[in-house]
Amino acid sequence: MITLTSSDGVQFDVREAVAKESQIIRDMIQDDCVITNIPLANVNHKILSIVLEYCQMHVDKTEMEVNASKHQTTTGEGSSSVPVALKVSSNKNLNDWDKEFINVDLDTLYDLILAANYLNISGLLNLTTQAAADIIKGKTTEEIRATFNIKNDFTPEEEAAIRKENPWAFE
Amino acid sequence: MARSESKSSRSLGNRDMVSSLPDSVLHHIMSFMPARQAVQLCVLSKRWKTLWTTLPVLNCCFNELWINLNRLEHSARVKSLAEFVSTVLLLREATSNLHTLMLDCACGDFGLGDMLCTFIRPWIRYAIKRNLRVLTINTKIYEPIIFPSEIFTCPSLEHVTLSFTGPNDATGSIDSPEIINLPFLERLHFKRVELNQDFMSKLLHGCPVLEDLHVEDGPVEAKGINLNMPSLSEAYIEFVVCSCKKLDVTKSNNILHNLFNVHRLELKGNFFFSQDYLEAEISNCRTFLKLICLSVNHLCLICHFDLLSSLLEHCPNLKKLSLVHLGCPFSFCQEPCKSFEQKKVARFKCEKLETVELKFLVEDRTFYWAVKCLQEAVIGLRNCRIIMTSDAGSSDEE
Repeated sequence: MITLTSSDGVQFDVREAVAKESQIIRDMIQDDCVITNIPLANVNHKILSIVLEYCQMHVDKTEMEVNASKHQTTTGEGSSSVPVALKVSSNKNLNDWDKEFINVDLDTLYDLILAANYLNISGLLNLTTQAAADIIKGKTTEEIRATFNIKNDFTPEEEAAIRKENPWAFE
Repeated sequence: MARSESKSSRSLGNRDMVSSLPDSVLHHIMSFMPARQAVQLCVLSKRWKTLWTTLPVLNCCFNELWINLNRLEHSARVKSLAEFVSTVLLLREATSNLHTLMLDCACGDFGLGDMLCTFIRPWIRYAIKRNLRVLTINTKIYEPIIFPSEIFTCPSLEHVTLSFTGPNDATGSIDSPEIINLPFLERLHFKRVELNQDFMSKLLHGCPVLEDLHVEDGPVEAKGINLNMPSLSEAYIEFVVCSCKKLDVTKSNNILHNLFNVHRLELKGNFFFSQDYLEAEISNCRTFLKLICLSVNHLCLICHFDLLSSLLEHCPNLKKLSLVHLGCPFSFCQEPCKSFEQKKVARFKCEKLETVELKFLVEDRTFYWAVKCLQEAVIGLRNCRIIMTSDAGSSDEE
């Protein structure tokens, strides 16, 4: 077990495998720093619990398959009827789960991106940045500004000039 | 970052949070968009103005081509899209690396293949100087395309995918390079690309660390391809109908013979047309000492069971076997009961076999016979279990 402490002091006890979904934690453990308590100064408890939910799910899914195989091995000894396990494609379920998981409001998405980037969890970073890209895709400049509260700090003349100078991009 | 500050301002609900993300993260977001839209973000605000000039991933889609245009309009359209890519490359920050270049071209006709090739050459030459690591070219056009030889002299490349999926029988081909120099290439995927002996032997010398080679749906030249690559640990070879026309059935091509070093092997193809060929291949193959994972598709588990057993005799260390049950197109498999009951199923001799995975589309009668065959074949293998996976519906994934 490893204890992760959020920026606002909440402690989370997680299994090493779950914590290791994060590249920086994996590196710490591999570098043999004997660590049982890792303070995470950039992630608050609300976001950390969501991040850990993601890690937990992805670790569980992988372990479930390994365990299933062990279980089958022990029960299937030498008898003439070889046990047959029916299962559904688990990858598909995980993708569905990811889709459901990332269905969050913009504030949370933004915090999750920062956390995934800081903790270096590549699966979560891909998932969250892809979600952000999907929100931007197909929107006009004005719509994007409105969605993300981006303040237009160009003067109208400056903006027109950029468009005029780069017709190849805006045709 | 001061979390309390961002919290308090969040309650106001109007803080521009996205713009405060670091460049690398914004690039990550932009890499999931078509290049044109990523570039257009430059008018959002000053923060975004020059982000695209250092974007390491360019995702160029030529899928905007319309079929309803006439020839002239069409070629103008292609030119303007090509001009867009060229300009982006030209105006990029000179020192920034281009990590990934993806070109996706679909539904054009009218000499598009030639035209694209003319454009692609200088882009590749540019990318070579910017440490390109991942190159993907997907073409879905009417006429054959010849992929430029420059690709094979880009030393920084790690992953290359060249795919051609035209609506007709046409195939892509490669402008065979003088030399191939890809010292870091790990993954090479071809889809419907013609490969010849000369190219394959150059590939053998030019890619010392190649681990994963996919040759999908590709016509293989009659002489056969030599895949004698010691570093290759994953291979995926597809035999298909169109390739079988060109395969010399009477003489083995020694494809399996030369793949002896692989860890994972996936064989896919229409074996009904090439049973003799496969028999010759199997009788001629060396022992796959390192093979752990074997995947065989499109094999009728009832009429080709002996073939499978004899292939497994060459795989002493196999741990996992994946099979796909699609039934058999020939009627004699529909009523297998009588002939099957008299038939003796050869038992697998792979002591280390742990998993036999059977993917199926429908649970029809032949499916149960296939299961019975497998169950009989693994008797005596103490650690072996059979998993069945329903493939229905999941085939449209990926």
